[in-house]
Amino acid sequence: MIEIRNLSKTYKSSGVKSLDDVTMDVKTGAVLGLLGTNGAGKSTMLRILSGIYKQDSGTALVDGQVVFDNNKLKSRISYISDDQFYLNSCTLHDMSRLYSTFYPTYSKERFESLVKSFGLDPDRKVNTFSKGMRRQGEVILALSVMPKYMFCDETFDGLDPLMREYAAGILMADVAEYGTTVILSSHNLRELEQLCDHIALIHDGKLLINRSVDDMKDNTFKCQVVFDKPDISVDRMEPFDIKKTGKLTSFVAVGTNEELEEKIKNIASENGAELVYFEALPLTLEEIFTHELNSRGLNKLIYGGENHEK
Amino acid sequence: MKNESLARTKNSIIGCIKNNLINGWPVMLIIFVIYLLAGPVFLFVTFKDDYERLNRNMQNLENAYDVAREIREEGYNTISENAYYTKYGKYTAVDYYRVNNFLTALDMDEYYDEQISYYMVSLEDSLEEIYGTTGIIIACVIGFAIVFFVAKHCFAFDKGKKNTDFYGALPVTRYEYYISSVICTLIFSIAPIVVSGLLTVPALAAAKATEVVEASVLWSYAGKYILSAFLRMYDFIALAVIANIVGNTVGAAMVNYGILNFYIVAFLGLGCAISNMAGSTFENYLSKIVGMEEFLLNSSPFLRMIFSLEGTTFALEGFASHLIWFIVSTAILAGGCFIFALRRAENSVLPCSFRPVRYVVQYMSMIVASLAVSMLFEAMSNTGIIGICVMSIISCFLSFICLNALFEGSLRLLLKNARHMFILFGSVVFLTIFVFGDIFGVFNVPDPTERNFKSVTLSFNDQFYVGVTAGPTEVTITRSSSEEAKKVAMDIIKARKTAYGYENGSESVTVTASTPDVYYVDEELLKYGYQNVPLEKKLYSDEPVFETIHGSLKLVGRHDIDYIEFMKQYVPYMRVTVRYGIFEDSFSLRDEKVSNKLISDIAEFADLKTPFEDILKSDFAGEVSACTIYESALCKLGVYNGYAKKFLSDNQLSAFKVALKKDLDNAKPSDFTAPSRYIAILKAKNTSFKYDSGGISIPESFTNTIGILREFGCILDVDDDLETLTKYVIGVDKYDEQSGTYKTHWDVMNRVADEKDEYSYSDDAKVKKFISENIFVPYDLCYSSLLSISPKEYYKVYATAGYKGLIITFDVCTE
Repeated sequence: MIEIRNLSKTYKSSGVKSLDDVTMDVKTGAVLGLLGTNGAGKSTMLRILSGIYKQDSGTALVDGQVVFDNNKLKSRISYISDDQFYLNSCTLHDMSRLYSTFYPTYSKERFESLVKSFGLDPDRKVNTFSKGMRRQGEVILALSVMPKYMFCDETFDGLDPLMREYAAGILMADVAEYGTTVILSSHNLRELEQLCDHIALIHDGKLLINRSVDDMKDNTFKCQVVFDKPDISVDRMEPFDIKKTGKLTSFVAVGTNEELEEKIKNIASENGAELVYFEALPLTLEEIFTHELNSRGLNKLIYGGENHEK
Repeated sequence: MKNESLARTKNSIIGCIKNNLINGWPVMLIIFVIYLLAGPVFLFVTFKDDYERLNRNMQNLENAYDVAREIREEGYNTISENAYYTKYGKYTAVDYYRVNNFLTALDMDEYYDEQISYYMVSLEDSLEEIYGTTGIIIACVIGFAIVFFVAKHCFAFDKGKKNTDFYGALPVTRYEYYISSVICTLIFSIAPIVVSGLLTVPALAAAKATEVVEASVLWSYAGKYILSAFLRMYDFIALAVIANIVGNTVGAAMVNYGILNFYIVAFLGLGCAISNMAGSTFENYLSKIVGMEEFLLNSSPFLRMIFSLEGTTFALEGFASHLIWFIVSTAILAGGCFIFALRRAENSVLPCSFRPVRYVVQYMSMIVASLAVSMLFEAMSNTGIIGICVMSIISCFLSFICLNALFEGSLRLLLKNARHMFILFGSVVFLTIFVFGDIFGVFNVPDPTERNFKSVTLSFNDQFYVGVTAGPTEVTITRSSSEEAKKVAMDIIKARKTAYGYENGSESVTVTASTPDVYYVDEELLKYGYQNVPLEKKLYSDEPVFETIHGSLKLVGRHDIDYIEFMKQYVPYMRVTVRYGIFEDSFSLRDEKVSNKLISDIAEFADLKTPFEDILKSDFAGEVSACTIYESALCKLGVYNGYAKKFLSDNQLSAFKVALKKDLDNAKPSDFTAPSRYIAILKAKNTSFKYDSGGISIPESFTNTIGILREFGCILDVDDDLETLTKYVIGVDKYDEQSGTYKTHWDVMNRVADEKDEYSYSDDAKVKKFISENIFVPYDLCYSSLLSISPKEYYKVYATAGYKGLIITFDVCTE
């Protein structure tokens, strides 16, 4: 269990407030996707949770303990930075030996098995690897620690789609088998959609959204409606992105399928019209986020002016 | 729980060290190669030569002992030079003295063992000096760079985002990182030294350079050397660690590290100036800071070079100094630990982690850089004060720009607000005052013509100082019979070139080695040196110091030059010490021709039948320095070590200075080649050179000076009050633990000059008591300084009551 309370962090050198009073919980075994633009504070949060940085105020507890300088706790945490690090002229075996020195739970067997399954040569110099291969190496090493908590900072961004899927599969298997708690930061909503059961959106250091993916998906639909009368307002649905094409009105609304259908029927009956056609279409996570941000008036803020619609 | 935590810490530290060592093998390899190439090669070359010389000495000692035994068995207690020459053919003064020394001392039990013991002590001193010299070079040239880069490597976990992300996430605390990194830095820095030190010994053995000395002795020296190297490195590491923590990028850390050293120098320079204001000296200033002198001298190689303190620093190997040094370095390392704990990981990408430190570093660097650049520019361009002024302002701005760019990463923020400009101009003002304070009188550097001379010491052996030879030790020639000695001395004093040497059948000619540095004042030679030898440094005043002796003496009388001396150690050189306002510096002339000419001049001057070259080529070479006459008649006059002392009151000193200045101004160059008295002037404000800086010859033409000295009651001629004086003088020198040496009679002279010499005895009863209570053994057999041959008439003894106990130097004359 990760408990974050009123977490704030300001970089004194630049004066940038990277995290501003963030409060959230991540349950054990959850996979949380951290979403946000560059400089939003995602990496800072992961670094604080990994014990690299120290927050200015607030608390960040993992299993009820402070992480900073807590060796025992840190030995159960794997952190994969967005900046790849390897020792000079080392091989994956060298790195494996280094990890095994520090992590009591490190499994060499798992390392060997993962290296084999990823198809990497553990005795080849890492500096001859491609960027993607090095990223795979990091994932292998982090997984071999058999961590209870795993924090990945844009880890899958450098992998090709196949390898990304493969790595994600292994990660998810760990979550299922060992109950590993994972926090992934990424710009790729689709990737997070596949992997995460929770999504948190951070912007300017503030936590804007923290919801489960299922909750978001089950509660946001793109509705298509046809009434037998024209000009019937659907404003009561609190719709976003209303578009009209002839008699067809399409919009995004929050609520379950049944709730939305009930609401639209009520609107029809109140206006003495008949509901000719209604369909609630599921949205992708990307679309949901766009609509969410629009609803909060943040789309402009985040995407720099224009509505970001797909 | 506690045990688990300890085990985890231990595991983390070991893990970090392991990681560093594995990761750093290329660094280690490079260091090894550098040391293996530089260290042993250098050590081998110096070691080998020294061993050859010392081994030869040892062999000669053994031979002398055998000859002495042989002579004793024939029933003689002594042997004359002629007899020695006749019997053994080959004659060198040193051989002869050795034999006679043995003859004198054969009755003393365990004398031979003592000799061997002293030989070993000499060897040890010599080796330590070599290792000390090498250690300095290694520390300065190699150690400086290596330790820095090693620290850079070992503290890499703290540098840059990538590293801090990786290492920060590992289950290792910051303290564990710090400790393991310091340990790694030590290992990386020390291991190559240990190996190079150990390799030196077999290398020497393989070259058969160590036939005489037991291998175990060598190993013990290697051990000492290694320990010394370790200690020398320790403070480097402490500074490097702090520099690495405070500054992150390679450039900034290098600047910080350099500046740490420069700051010390800059602040000491400032302190020196301030202490001058207070009427003190640099040396006193240092000594006022408890423990700092040892620490600074040991920690900053720049200090040693800049302030030319090598001579004293080499000797500072005592336990106490090491201990202080070690404690201070440890404190720095411990402080580094706290700094590191305070340091934020996110600052790892900034050039300087702490803003206040950054400002201090930036602005102080600017000042130091300006000072250095302007002084350098002036030295190169000879543009004088205008050059210094202009360049100090320009360099101040330039350094500010550079440092700003370094710390900000761009020039964008340059001069962005009034505060920077204020600090900048404030710095320029400070710099101007600092540099030109002397001119403006801010520091109130005393005019040397106003110096408060403590005393004037007159010598009766002046003629041997005029035309003195080269070498760090002094040749003393004594006569056995007081009457005969008196005659010879008088002859020499009056005729200057009285034939006097080994052929005259004297039974009591002794060559002793005692004192380094002797003044050489010879017009021709000075001219020769000036014309033929390039100056290593230019003089501040641009005046041709060596043009004539007249000029030299004039300069001595002014503030530009403290003293001129001619020395020969292994390479002869002439050194002139010059003061630039608050700073003191010296330059050297080195030329083989000068040396040869000097030697031949002296041989000719002294009319020595045994060519001086022979002496210099013998085992005594390198130690022969000066010729001084001693004889009992002088002792009667209260002469101590050939000098009669007269303490002058302030008024007398003022009068003396006026007279001297008058004579100097009116003197012709030829006056200085004429026979003259030698006057050593002891300054109240001494420099680090502890003896009579400012010694000059007083030609006969200096009638004002001589007249006023005579008026003050100074003994200027041997026949003055000859019959009325009978005096015993004993000076006792203590073994100086710190320097590892015995004070020479120059120090004694200083103490006498201070009139606080509790170790001086002139009371007959005390002298006799002192002599009877102590067993005197030879002072330094290696240099063959011992008893004269006719003890009934005259003793000239350098003796010790046990090694590292008291050294007693006494002249006793009896009727």
